Amino acid sequence: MLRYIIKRILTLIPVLFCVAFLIFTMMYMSRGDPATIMLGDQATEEQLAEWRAVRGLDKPFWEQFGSYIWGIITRGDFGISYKTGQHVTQSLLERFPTTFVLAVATCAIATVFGVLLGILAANRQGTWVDNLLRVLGMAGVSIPIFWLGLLMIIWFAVDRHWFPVSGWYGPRYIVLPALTMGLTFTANIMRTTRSSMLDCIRQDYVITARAKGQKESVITWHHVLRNALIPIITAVGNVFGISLCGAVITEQVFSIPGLGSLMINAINTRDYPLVRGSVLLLAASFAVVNLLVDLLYAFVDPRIKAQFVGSARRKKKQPPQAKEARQA
Amino acid sequence: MKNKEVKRRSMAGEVAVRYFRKPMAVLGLVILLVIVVMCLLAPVIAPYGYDAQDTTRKFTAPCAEFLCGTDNLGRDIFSRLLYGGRVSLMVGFVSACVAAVFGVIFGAIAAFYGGKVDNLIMRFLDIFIALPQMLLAIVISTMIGPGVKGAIIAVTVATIPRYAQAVRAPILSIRNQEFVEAAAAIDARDSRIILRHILPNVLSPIIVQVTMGVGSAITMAASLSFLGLGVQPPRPEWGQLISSARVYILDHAYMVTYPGLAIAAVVLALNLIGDGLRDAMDPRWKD
Repeated sequence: MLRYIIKRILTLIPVLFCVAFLIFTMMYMSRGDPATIMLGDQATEEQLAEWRAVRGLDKPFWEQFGSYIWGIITRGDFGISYKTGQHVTQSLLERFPTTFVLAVATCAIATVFGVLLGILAANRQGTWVDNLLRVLGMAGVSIPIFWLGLLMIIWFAVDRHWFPVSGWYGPRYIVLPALTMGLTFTANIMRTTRSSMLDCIRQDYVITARAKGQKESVITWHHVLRNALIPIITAVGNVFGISLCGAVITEQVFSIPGLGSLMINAINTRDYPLVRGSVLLLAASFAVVNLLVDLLYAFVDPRIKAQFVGSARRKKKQPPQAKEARQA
Repeated sequence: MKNKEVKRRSMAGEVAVRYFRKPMAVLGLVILLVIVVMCLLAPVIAPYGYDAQDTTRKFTAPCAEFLCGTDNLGRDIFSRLLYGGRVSLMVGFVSACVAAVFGVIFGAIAAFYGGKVDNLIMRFLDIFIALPQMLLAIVISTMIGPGVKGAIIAVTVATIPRYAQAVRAPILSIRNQEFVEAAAAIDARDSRIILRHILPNVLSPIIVQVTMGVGSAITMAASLSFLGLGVQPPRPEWGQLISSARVYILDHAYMVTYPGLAIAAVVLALNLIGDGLRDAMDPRWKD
């Protein structure tokens, strides 16, 4: 098991390296010369050259990329912001907890509603409840997040004063943004729960349980849900990853000082080190969440765990079933 | 007694018949057609030009004269919605179709040749998949710069990997079947095998993906505009209309309501159509 975990962490590194390269290249090729943007039009040629030299921007591409990666690996240093002169790492660490808390709250809302409604839909398959939930779910997927956020502000902050309009000063400020994202992602989890439950509901062991007179509630929660859990976990992990990154939009709507708004501000001011850092951190957390989801399978499903252990002994590359589960 | 003659229909006819039996799917098609036609006929239908200002009529609430009200410069929001819809729909359709073409090419080549080629293409796409689509679109549009073209390219590139993945799996499952071997045995060119023998068999999942993909492309483009990275004013686009109306939500909520409603309606319609098509094209997929 440990071997498998280590192996998965090791495969993460080249992916992240490539992502870093991709982002660095894209920022390098971006339009506009940062020196001119930062110093203004009236700056002399010498001033511009000096500004570039201080930040190593006069060096060739590979040298710049090399020193950037070297700084991240050895010192956890993402460079220095063009605009504020602050260390990017410091700004990232300041902003990350906000985004993380928002993602956790979002995920909690989406999971609770999604799983409950999914169970309801599966147990009432084909009835008007199922159809209604299906249409609602589809509507939920179709509504743009930023619009729903603005509607939430209009309904619950402007018209009714239940919650603050925007900002981030305490628990009351989390409710609207978390609800906005949570309700949108509820649809994803609900759909997955429903179809996964339906796959399990027709299994023989469910019929057996029913035949021996087991209570329906126990059958739903214990026999069906437990076996339907893997795709649901995948969906929840996905939602967590997307809400970390989807926060870019929600944070703009609610003026929340998180990683997303840091990134958008940095983009608007062409502060490339800050853009690179925040994108990279978001991508890394997305990848780590996916990794954790994979590892979680083993703890939920003894069959997969047995395969991990077995395959580690047999030195197989990857357990086939875990691979399938991830693709599903 | 004479046997009743069995009515024969073409494949497309069968699909159409099954499709039109589902009321929700038909509803989706009607909504989409109405909106598309209205936007295409914008110069005819729109009561005002999209940049016609009437500064004496700023912030007029929706009424008979201004169906969706007017904005901060006294421009008719209904007219701007119609013109904006042309941009939004165009961006959505173009980027979804271009992305699908590239995605299918990558996915088909990867799945057909397998081995090293497959590994190379899919690992390359993995780098893009490691980033969530929206984040990738944001980074790309930062690189290219704002504008309609930038939005199209950003959305297209960000969604290509998804199409490649979607087409790769079904091709993998049929590429070793007899009819592919038969085609190879009579010495058909690879391109011919892929285009004539394999792709028609995976066409229905692709069509469903593209239908729903148009919807998510419209949402993504609108989100980019909302963040100030997509279509720029004064050119109206649905996301950009919401973005510029944001400042006034405290007093003039209607300015935000209608553009969002338009996006939601179109995307919902596309999802309903995709759902209906999936059931109609392959009855086995019904759960």
